[in-house]
Amino acid sequence: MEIIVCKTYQEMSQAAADITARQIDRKANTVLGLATGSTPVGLYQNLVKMNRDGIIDFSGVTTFNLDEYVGLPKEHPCSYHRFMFDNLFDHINIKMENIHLPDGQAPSLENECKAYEQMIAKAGGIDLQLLGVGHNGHIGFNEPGTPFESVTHVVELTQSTIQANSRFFNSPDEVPRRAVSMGIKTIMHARKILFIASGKEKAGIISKALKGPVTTEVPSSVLQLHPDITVVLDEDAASCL
Amino acid sequence: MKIIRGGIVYQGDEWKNDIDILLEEGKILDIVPKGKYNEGQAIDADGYFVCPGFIDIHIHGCAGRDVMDGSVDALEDIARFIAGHGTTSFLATTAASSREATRASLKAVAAIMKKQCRGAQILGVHLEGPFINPEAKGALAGQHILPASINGFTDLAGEYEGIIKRVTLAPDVEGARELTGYLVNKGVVVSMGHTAAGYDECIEGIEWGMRHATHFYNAMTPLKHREPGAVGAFMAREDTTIELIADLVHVHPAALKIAVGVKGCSRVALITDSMAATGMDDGEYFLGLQEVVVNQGVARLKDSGNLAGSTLTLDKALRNMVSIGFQVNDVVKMLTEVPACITGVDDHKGRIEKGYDADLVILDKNLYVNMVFIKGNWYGINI
Repeated sequence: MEIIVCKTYQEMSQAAADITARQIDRKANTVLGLATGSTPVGLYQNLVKMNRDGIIDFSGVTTFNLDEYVGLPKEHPCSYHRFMFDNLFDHINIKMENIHLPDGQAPSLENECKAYEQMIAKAGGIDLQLLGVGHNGHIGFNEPGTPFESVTHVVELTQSTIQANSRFFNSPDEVPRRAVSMGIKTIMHARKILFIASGKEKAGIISKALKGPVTTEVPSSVLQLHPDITVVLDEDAASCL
Repeated sequence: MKIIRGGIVYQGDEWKNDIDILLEEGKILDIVPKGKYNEGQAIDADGYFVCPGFIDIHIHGCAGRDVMDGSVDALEDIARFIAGHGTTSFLATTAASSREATRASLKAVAAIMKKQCRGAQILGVHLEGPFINPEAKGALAGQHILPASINGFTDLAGEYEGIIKRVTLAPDVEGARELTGYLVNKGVVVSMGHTAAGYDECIEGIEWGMRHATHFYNAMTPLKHREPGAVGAFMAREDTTIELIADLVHVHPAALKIAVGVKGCSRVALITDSMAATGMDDGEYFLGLQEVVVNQGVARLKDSGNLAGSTLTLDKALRNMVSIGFQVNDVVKMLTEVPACITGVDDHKGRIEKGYDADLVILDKNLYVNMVFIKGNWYGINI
């Protein structure tokens, strides 16, 4: 495990963008696993800029997002589809057909989960998976207690995650209660993992995830067992290490 | 150093609580009371069963792949898929096919055994056929069945003879005695199977050195009270081992109980004999070159309707056996120690002992796999 500590959120975002750029440089048809949330926004801004400046070419890149809410239309301002297009896809030269997010409105969510796994396998597996972490240690929407052997599945969100997400919605009642998420095994089978976190409020969970025992109670702790993981933190997030 | 902390550990035929297992450099460094050491990376196994990794000595394929695909990719997919079901090592099992196809599979296995790959480790090859009785071919391709001979075997194996650890052979084919003698001398496990031989002939085969029975009950002569058949021969002879497909389709639950009752669980290995459709949807598949239709997880040849391998995984076999009344520790023994003994790797695999390979399966209370360590690493990767 390589841990890179940056001074600020901006530096962290640039360092993570550089790692992503190097991956795409090495393999033009890279399969990227992408994440949503506030942490990667800066990273995505950097990728957009680097694409505009001709430093990264996304024309051969395929992406798979970690998760999506169940029941939220793609156009909904809080859907992860919308987030990804607003923050990244609308501004880079990626091919539409190479973009994948779970369909939270699929008629059969069970089939959607299966199909999503098969699409990842068909694409040759994920080369670089970007990850943030939730306050309770979740990765994707894999909440504490999720078996490490899980693959893409439907998740009942915990109260703490619903609350953390409610700031993006008009009222807590609007926050979806379920999501489709890659499983922990899906994430762990990525060839390389880029794990990012920033801010004082993540310091405790980062310490648990990286230094505590590997336990299903802290899903991100399993990342300690991944053979090729780079952790990029700002000083605040690293303050309990 | 990794510490598998506080699990319910299977050791010496029983479960021990509050045990830490220390892993280093792919081996089990020590087994100590919980909390004795604190340095190192802790993996919390509190409330989980910790067992030796399962060993599958008879598996053709899964996840849409077959050993007979003859490609390293296929073998990697198989190795990775079964690791998720607790299998940490296996014998890649061929199905009777042309010399070229068999050679291609042997070549791929030899290549993968040299390289580090993610997933279960390949211990070697189990050749199922071509030296079998066509009358008991089951799902093997009749046109590729051959009489047994040393030349026939060395011609098929070529430069890859060294990786062949097991051969399924019928005692009632021409040349079986000669080939058995040759293989036993080389340390290859010769198992009796796909045979129409009666009791006396089977006892003779056991004398030659066929000390293991391939998918016991299936594709062999049954036990009748005046002609005990192959089944009776292996039940009567204590110095033999058998293997069972515990999918509850190939063998009736009562017959599973009878076999384990007679042999004792230290002489029974559980296998999958699984084919490409394992872990996939129902549909049409191949077993070697034979067309197979899978309906509700049961695989049958398209033309004859014969059972054509299973869609079983070893963790499912464990749950199946427990569901029909077996004790978890007895079933674990049949998935670990016994197959390790049969293949002669019991000096470093199949048990949780100091110095043994750090191949471990961590199961939850419902006997589903939570984590798998192969040579001390999650899924066996350490780059």
